[in-house]
Amino acid sequence: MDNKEVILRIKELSISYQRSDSSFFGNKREIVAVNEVSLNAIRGKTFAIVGESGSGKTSIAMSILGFVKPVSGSIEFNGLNLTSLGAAKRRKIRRLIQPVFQDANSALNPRMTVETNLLDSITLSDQNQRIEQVRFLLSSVGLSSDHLGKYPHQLSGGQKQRLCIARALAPEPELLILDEPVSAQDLSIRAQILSLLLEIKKTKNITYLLISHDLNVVRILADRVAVMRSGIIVEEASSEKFFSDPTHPYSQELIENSGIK
Amino acid sequence: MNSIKNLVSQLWKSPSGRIGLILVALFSFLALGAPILSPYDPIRQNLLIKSSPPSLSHLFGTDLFGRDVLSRLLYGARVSMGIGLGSAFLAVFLGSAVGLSAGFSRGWVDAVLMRIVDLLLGFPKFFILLLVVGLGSPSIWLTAAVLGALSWMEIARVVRGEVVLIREMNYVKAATALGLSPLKIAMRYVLPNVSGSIIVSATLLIGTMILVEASLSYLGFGVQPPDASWGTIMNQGRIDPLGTWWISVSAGLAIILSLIGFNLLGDSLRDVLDPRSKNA
Repeated sequence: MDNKEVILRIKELSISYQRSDSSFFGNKREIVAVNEVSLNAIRGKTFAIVGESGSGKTSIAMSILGFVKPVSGSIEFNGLNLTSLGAAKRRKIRRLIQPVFQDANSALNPRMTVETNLLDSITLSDQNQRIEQVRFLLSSVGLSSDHLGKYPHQLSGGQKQRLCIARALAPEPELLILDEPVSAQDLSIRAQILSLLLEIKKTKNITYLLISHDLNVVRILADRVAVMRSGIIVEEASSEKFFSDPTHPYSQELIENSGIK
Repeated sequence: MNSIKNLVSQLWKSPSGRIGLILVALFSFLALGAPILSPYDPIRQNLLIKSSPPSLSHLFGTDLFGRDVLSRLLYGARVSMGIGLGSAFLAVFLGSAVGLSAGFSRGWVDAVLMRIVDLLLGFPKFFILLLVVGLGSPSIWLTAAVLGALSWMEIARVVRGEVVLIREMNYVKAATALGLSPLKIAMRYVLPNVSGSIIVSATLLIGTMILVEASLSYLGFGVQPPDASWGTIMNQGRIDPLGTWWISVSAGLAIILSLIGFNLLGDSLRDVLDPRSKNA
């Protein structure tokens, strides 16, 4: 594997959470969410992490975004070790990694209109250019400028998720972290959002890190798949190989349950 | 402007919201319009008609110095509600600043600020009030400032609690991922979303402040004669409670009705502004 192609390299990443007992003098317990996980994501491709809830996949996403501090291991993005960056340096490169969350309702500031939600993500200084950019972003996710003055609660579920994708695209990121991007949507919207994501990937050469428990979604988007269970990766393979010939019994079980085979 | 109209129409839907709005609007109108609405000069004494019961010329009677009680109540509304508003505003400002800083920064800033809040909450508030107001020369401004400075802790707790919840929302995470500065995130993403709780606490606090001010003035530590506040008027009725019942009763009614007004309005605001009570 050529080093230049790897945009995200995770090495032996471990994440654990402290949970204190309910009693006042109770001891703190350590819960290991991610246990020495390593993976490489290739630029322009989609790397999917699959697993049931609680398997640690979202913890990995949160630590890449800098919201969870890993206990050990490293996360290299474009060759830069994110785990050792200070807050100020971190803030500078944050814009290159953008999240799209599962629940679009909680991902949009309810007190901001579509326009202000997007304006905050644009760094251009010229006001006309900024508004132009907002319109461009909206149209690139299939929303019209009629939506500019609307508040999130006035949008449908699908429109909200499109707006979230538009906001994530605004800083021109290199890596998009898609945390269950369609599992809160109904079937017809699901198909629309997925085809939008495929189109964006094709035109913008963005790398996706897809977090999902839904293998149907993974099959459509992913180039490479890693299966997580109880904080470790039990299998990693190309999407084709994974769906045609899964080796780990847990992967086989997942594929069977998803109704793909 | 539209959102205020919307808010009022939502408040109007519930009986308690309606009563609260009407009472608060009425008292605000009476306080603001006191110079025009008062039939007499509130501090002019006329010993010839002292302690006369309610009549057509003096609707609420006169006090021990022959001053018109209605006029004094109207001017007293300005003082009582002014102190209530002013001290609540100060408490809300301090409480929001401390609560937002604590909840948003977490870690040791949070720990230190909230322990200070705990400590101050343990102080006997009314005693300190009496002490400070008693030591200084009593005035409207001093009373409002001391009341506000001693009442922000509850608001700080409420705001901090909300901020801790809001900062875990994905829109705050998304804003952080955009590289926005912590100050911008706090002011644009967190504060507007706790403003509902702040408004509710403030409204409820105004009522409490009016009551505390009345108690202070009743005891002679607050507003000083000849200036009128509802507390000082009540104090006058204390001398001969049965003989001049109209003095205490009218001032007491003003305090009770305004308190009910602010409390009902605060409760209804909570129902309207709390996102959890909305059918989203």
